[in-house]
Amino acid sequence: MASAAQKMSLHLTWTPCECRATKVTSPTPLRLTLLLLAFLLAPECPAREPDAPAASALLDLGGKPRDVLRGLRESPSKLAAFIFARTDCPISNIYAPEIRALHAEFAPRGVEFWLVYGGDETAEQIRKHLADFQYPCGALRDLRHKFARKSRVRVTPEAAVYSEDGELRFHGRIDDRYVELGVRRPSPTVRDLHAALEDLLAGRLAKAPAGPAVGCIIEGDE
Amino acid sequence: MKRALVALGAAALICAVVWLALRSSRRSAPTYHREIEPLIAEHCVKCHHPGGPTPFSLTSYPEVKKRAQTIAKVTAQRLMPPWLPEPGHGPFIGERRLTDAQIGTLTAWAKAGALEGAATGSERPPTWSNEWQLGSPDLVVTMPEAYELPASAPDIYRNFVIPDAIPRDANLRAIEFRPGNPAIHHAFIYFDGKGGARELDARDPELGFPGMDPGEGAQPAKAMFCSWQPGRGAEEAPPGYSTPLKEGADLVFQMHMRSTGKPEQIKPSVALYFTDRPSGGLSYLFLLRSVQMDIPAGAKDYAVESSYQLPVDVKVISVLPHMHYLGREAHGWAELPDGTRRDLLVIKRWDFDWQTDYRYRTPVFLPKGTTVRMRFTYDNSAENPQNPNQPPKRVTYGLQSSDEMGELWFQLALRNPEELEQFHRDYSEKWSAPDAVARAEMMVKLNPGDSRERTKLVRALVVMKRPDEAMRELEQVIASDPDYADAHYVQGTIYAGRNEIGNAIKAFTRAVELNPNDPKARNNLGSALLASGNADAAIPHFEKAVAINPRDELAQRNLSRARASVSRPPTQ
Repeated sequence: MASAAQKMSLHLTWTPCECRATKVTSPTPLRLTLLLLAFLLAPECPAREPDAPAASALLDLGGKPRDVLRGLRESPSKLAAFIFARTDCPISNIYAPEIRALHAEFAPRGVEFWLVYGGDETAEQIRKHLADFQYPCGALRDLRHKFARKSRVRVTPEAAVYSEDGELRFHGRIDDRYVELGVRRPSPTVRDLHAALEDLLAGRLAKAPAGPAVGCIIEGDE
Repeated sequence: MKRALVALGAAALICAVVWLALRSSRRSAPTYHREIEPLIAEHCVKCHHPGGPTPFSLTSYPEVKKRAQTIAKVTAQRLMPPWLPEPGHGPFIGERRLTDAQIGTLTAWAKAGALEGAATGSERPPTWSNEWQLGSPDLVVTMPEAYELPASAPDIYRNFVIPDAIPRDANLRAIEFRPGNPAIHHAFIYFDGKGGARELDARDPELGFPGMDPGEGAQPAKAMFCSWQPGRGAEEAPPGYSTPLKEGADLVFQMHMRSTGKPEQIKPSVALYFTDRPSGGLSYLFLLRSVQMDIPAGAKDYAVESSYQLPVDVKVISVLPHMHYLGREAHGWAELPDGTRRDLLVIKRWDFDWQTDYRYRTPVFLPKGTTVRMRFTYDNSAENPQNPNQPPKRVTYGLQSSDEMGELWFQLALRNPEELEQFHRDYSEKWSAPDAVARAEMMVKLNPGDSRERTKLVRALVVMKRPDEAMRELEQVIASDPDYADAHYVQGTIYAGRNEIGNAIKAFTRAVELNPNDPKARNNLGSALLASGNADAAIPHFEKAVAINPRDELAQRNLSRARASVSRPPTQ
């Protein structure tokens, strides 16, 4: 057993789970015990994913993968704004007029707008939603919420803006209309996404929103 | 070697123990079928079902699982199920509260990954119904024309009148409101036999009219507040109570609507249930409020209070608090003659969206001599996110949602007609007449040039038996607004009360010249002419009054008397 362990020369790299790399060269019984315990009891940590594939976990409504960030690089648009939404989230729906207004203002100025739905929502549901709420934007389905995680968004509605070099330049709430669940201002006093798009188009850094996005938690792992 | 084997054995043992513990913990984690489904079925599905008043359903594992964390969050914050009163008083029918343990279960379930678990075989699948709760109604009244709610608008509070809604005299025992659209957040239903709502509707060019005043004469039912919010099904009068409705009475839907992000068609219905037995129960709609409301910008804890001492024994059937967006806490309580205090309503986190009435499981007996009190507080600071004004502004009493109010309504049961009359006289003298004057004075202060508000003050002063003050105020109104018909009408009634018939005729004549289609002015002019011995001149005015308002029984009787006095046959 000792010789087998010596041959193992285990080199365990654990990311992003804060596990420690362990290189075993000459295991003592104690070290072997600890090693086995660490191996058996450690949480399941997925292998580190390479960059970029999160964007290609997005499907269009025809079911084809869309690498939207690559598309952005190759298009004349300067920015891409992704609004994470759900057909059945009442808070997300209340924002429909604001999203349409942002599209009307910024799409002519070189900003692509995309609505990003969870993979659990079908193309048919999404098409009806787009029609009901008169959304002019393209729509994508985010399998296993990978793009949401890459974009660091947690709820619907929440926004993420990427520049043409594929960098995430803004993520967070659209405005401060909701203070927390159940507490809504009569109208927003700060329009975070609007300000961010203005800043980015002018070549400035976007400011992080002053408060958290409020809405239905993006959850589940289809 | 031996040491290695011992170490391996120890490791294996530890692993086995840990594995068993993890497995056991996984087994004891809540599952949908075992713990969550029954909980959701009991507390959530009444609203969250297909066709229900909410944007999504919670009637299957996939539906609930995809919101597990959100459900855990909103229940832990006690946003859902929505219930404003604090625990420990009431108790109220239909209380919607989860226990701490139930909230813990939902949280644990979400944290453990929202496991489905195996079906136990003993589940009761969630049930709901979109049928009328009390069976086939006696009458269904639907708004004839839909109101289009815009896709994006501030909250809308609006009244819609269905004229001549009641086809025959009937005794109402229950109602069920069906909004037909989740954009309606709450509603009140009123019955109006006097036409005040129609008048307000006629003045507004759009469908319905805004605000929280449904018009003079619009009333809820006896012993029922006729309020609706999501989750409220049918409302039945307490046993022994019913409300007489007159043929031709109008129905008013007063609704609070919130935009959903797309235009919505608003066309609700209400089911009415009647009884052949008229009410034996005696109820009284009792109000405590303060209109002395002037909240400075920035005030965080502004309070208003009111109280009244009961002249007779009463039982409290139900209670309805009312404030607008700045409201924070609502307290109502009773101080009994023996020194004890009984909480009637305690709300510490007011939410305008979830206002409703609360009916006690057992009506609360309050003996004669009890002082009933209310105290409401308001937050007009910038830190109140629901402040309609940012930056904050001074906010005063008023009926628009941008104003503020503080009202605590009670449905009381009285023992017999004598005590009801005694209560009414004492309450009118000691509370409601002074309140009417205070309210009218406040409204005049806020709207100095408003003839309508000034004339209301005059009326209140007349009720308070302050006729000289009333006449002085009235003369000023007429001097500043000589074409305001109602001022002349009120002046006529004051002169008639003083038996100055000549002056009364002049005043009523002017009121009729300015508003020929006011049936009350026509009737009163006819009465003054009849009193002066001029029946011939009175008859056309009575005929006109009856033609405008066939339900005016007083005008009908006066017409009969006038005709009899001249023995003239009825005109065709």
